[in-house]
Amino acid sequence: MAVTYRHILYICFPYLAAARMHRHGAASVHPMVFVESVKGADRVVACCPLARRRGLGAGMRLADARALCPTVHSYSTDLASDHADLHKLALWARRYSPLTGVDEPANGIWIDVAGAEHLFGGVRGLMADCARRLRQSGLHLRFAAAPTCGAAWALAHYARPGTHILPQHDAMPAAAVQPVAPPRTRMRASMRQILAPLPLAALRIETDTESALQRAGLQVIGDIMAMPRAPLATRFGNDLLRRLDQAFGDVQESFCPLAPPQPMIVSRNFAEPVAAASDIVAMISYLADEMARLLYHTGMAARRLELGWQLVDGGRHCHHIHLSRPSRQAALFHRLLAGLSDRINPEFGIETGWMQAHDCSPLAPVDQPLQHMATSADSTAGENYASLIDRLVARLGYGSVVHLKPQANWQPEAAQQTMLAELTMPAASVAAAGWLAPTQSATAQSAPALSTTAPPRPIRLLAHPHPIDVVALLPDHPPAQFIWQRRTHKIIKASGPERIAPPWWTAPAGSKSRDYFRVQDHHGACFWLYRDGLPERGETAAWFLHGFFA
Amino acid sequence: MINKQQAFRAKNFSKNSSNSQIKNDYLENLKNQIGSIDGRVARHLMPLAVAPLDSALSGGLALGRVHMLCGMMQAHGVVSGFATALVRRLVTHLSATGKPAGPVVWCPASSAGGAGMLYGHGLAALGLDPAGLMIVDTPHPARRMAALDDIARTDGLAAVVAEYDGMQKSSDYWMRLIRRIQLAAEASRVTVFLLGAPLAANGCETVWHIAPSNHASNTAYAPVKSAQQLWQPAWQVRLQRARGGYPFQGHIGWDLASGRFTELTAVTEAESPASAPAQTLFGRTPDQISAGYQNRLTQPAMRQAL
Repeated sequence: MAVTYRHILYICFPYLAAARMHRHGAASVHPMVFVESVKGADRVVACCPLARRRGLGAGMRLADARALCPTVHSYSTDLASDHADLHKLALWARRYSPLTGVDEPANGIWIDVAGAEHLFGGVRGLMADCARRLRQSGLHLRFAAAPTCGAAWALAHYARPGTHILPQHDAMPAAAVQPVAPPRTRMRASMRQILAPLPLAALRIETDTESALQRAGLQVIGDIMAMPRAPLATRFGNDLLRRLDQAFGDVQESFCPLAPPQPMIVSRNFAEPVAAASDIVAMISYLADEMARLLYHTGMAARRLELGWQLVDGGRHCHHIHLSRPSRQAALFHRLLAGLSDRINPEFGIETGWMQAHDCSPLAPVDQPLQHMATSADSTAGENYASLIDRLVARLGYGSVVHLKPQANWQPEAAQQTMLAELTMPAASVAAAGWLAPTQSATAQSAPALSTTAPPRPIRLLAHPHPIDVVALLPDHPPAQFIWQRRTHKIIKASGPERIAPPWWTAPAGSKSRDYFRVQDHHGACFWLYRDGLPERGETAAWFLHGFFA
Repeated sequence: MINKQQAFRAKNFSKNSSNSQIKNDYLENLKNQIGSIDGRVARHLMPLAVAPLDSALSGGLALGRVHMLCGMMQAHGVVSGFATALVRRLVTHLSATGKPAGPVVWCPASSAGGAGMLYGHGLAALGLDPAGLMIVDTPHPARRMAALDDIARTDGLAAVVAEYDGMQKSSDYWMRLIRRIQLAAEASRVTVFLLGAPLAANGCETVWHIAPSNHASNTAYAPVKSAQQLWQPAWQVRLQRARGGYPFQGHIGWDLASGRFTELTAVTEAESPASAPAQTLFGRTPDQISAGYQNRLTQPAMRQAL
């Protein structure tokens, strides 16, 4: 039964969900709780530090939580995101040790640092470094190091409750930080001493078992350490003894270490540096083929490709290609990479070329369409369109292909937003929604009734309104003429004003209300002008040109 | 190849010549077949529903070709407005023929200058759904034009609109570019519109000059109907060149409600707006002006929202 003692670091994140909400922009002034529906009642499963200070905690009913703290914001719990966050943290912790694992039910991660701690100046230095980095990223944590998994878990959760500093390490046996393993008996004695005052829940036993033990008058681990084992097993089950043995290292326990994600990378090394254009083209073509094959065999598809090359002098360069949808088609890769060979400057030669796929996602294998079967015209059009976006983005640069998206905002410049076309496919079939215009069907029978309610909007809008010189009657008449780009426009027709006030809750100080006029000059061209500031409020008025009508 | 059965049917029709519609269809079909033997792609025409314009275009706007819409830089909204109306009509035409209209690709001029950016609310007001619009936003006109070839080759697009603002190139460059786009557009049957300042040499199917129309000022005397009718878009259109057609000049309006072009009679010099009486100011009848500014033309929806 000789089990080797290891150096296990257990980090517990009590406010993981709250930290995620803060990362996603939730205000940190309100306490928040995360609830789950249990038997028809909403129960709190997690909270934020602010809520914790107000006395809210896991297991409480949401109604009770609201009674204690009326300003509390409640969110439904998202276990998948919690797990994903823990998974990412465990992967990040691989910087300390190759053996890291996720403890999902308790929101924690294990790190087995045995043999790796000297790289960080011992366990103490490693823990300090780890805690500093995690706290910098806004996470609350409790952690502990112990020779066994069970002891580390118990220390992290129950030793010195309510503190976020290193709980037990100073009092830990000095052996834990010494490179030479101490005598086993000495280690065991110190573990008994430290674990004895901890409550029985620190042993990771079932709640029923724990309450049964409490009814029997057993409160802390020290109470059952000295008891005869056979009656304990008979009365409370084998699980209690197993957990106790695991905590003291009498039974081997280990966590399931995470497998690191394999980077999707293919590379080509050259015996002699290559510089000829044809060789570079061949290299790119080889890498594209290999990448497509690798993605196919792993069942993945990439959203972004990185083509890199290393020069003789050690200089490394890379170029990124963005795809509008996950893909693994060699033909597409070839087409997107076609113009790239001109942009590679080999200087004295290229030693290595590689291609890495990023943002990979699983893609079910698609059967190749049979030759004699006509594919539906719709799917091919979509495919062509998507590949057009890819080609244009590869050719003109990231962010050059966009879609327009309406925004619920009365400020004209904020009422539309451009979205990257790679991320959003156009909904051509969906009727225009959210645009300040009547939705006209192809027949447009009902349009006239609607069109009177839509405010006029120009077809082209100046991103920055141009200041103009205007002749207009005070206080609020439409202009009679204006000068723009040294040309005088006499106005023959005007309508308005349409008053658009700045959103007082977000606008910077000094923003004024605008009165928009639609005017037509003597040539017939229509403009959208506005007066910034209201003379009736005593503000100085300035005139601007903001757009052009059809 | 020409079908024997069709030939027989045509013979019968030529005998009684009562059903001229089917005969015309037959002749059209025959022309298309000869064209395909010849290696040329048949012209598909989209009537604009304005009789003089359609006759000048010999039937309508040819689809799958390159059309050029020229205008002065000061009147940028006017040219893009006319292009939007044409594209809107084209989308309606394509959906009426049973083919789902694909997305529209618009390569606008750099918004850094005085041109301004495309505004979805204004496009929607003219009847073009901005959701089906893809905008290729690159500040370099030369690179935009070079990519146009690639865009025009894509199947399934409804139309491509490209602006070549302020690009100084030789006529040789333009001839070659337009020829290349033309070949790409013919293969994919995508209609391409080029927008910009007038060019000396080009090989486009049609060349239009679009200017703002002062015609609408005439309607100011009429009792005010509605804000929309008062502000119907109108253009002074000069069809400078049309392959297989003849030049045309006139004022064309756009009916927002039905999405149709309308023909307007031109304003004569005598009643031109320069000499128009002051009462036409602000597009209101004299009694309305005297009523003062209490009853503004602000739309009720706006009032509510504010």
